[in-house]
Amino acid sequence: MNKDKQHEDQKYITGLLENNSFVIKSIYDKFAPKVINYIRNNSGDYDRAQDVIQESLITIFNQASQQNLKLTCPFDAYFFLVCKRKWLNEIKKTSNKEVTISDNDVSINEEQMAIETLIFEDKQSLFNTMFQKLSDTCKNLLKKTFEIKSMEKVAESLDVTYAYARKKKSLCVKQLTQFVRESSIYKQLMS
Amino acid sequence: MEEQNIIFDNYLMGKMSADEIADFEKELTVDDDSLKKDFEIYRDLQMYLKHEIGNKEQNEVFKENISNISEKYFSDKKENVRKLNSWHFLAIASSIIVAFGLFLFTNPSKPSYSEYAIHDNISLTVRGDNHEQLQKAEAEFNNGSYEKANYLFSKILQSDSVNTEIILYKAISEIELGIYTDAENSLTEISKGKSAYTDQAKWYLALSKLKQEKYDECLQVLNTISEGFEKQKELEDIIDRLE
Repeated sequence: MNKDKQHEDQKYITGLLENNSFVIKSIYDKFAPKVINYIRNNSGDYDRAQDVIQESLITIFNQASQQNLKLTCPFDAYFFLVCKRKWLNEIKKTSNKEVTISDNDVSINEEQMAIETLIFEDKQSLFNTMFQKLSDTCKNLLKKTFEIKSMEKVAESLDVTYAYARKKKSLCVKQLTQFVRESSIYKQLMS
Repeated sequence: MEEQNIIFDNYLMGKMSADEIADFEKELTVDDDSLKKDFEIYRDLQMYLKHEIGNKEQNEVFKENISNISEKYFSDKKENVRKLNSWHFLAIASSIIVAFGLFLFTNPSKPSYSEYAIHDNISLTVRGDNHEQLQKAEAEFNNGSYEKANYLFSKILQSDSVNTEIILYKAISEIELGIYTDAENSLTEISKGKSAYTDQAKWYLALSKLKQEKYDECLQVLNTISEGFEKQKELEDIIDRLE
């Protein structure tokens, strides 16, 4: 299959984006059993499987909302790989055991898509941590900027001049960018 | 750096002239990739903040919906395991009795609408500012008050006439109320489109035919539903019983 061609299973991604309950239920009915089976056979239980599936779906929703997530392989294979790798990473973290992740039986296309989703998830969590590191003034200003959108109104709501709000926003974004660029996690993710 | 962020911003917001875009993109490809890295971090952060803060409400609605569906799906599974563990033999014995009973009662009669028209609780997607109306419609539908739900769906469609999700649920209410022509017109329209609801629409179109005992037409529609449809089991069941 052409690697760049959108797969017909894109409908699941669209359904998640639209928060379509029918589609979400069908994802559970069709694709969850395989993941549950895998996790239960690899030191996990129903509760852990429930968390992994739910977190993976939220990550896919976030990725699709922020980037143009184009599915080029069947959703089944992609979703299973995302959940499987997520679970293996978790075992690795909690048990300090060396876990080798190798997927000999999957195509490069599926693997690539799943890896991108997991890198995306790690980046989101890093962005969140770094955002929390900002000063309260910066956090507040950025929150207002993205809530209200118009910089004039942001300035008004904070009782500062437009020029000051804009300059301060730029400084806060600069600070945040710097935190991210200098973090060892980011360097690792980008290597 | 501040200057740089403004340039990034202008590029992302489409505020550059064609020449400026060309210059900027050329700069991104030079050997030293520090500008490119800075730009990528800036772009990803902007998207992250826009999504996490700007769409906060929408994200919360999604997470709540996923959490409800997940809870329901897993509570059934966990319940089954508990039952199996303690009542293993009794469960098997009683399921044989139930299966035998069902066989006696249902075979060889034709399938009926009420056996398959089990509507799960719906949770509508909020678009625009019609929040209250949607909640009311959702509650009436989940309550089985299809007449009231149908009325509310019509109201919502007056201001949001292309909302496929609402058109679908309105059609389901209409089947319940016996307004077949309107329901089937809407469902046929959805099933020809490219939304995520095409198979759902076909499924309900088939159920509408089944309710009217138009068995041949029901079969015809069922055979057009994609392989792997979420109600594949029920679908095959109806086909088996009709053929």
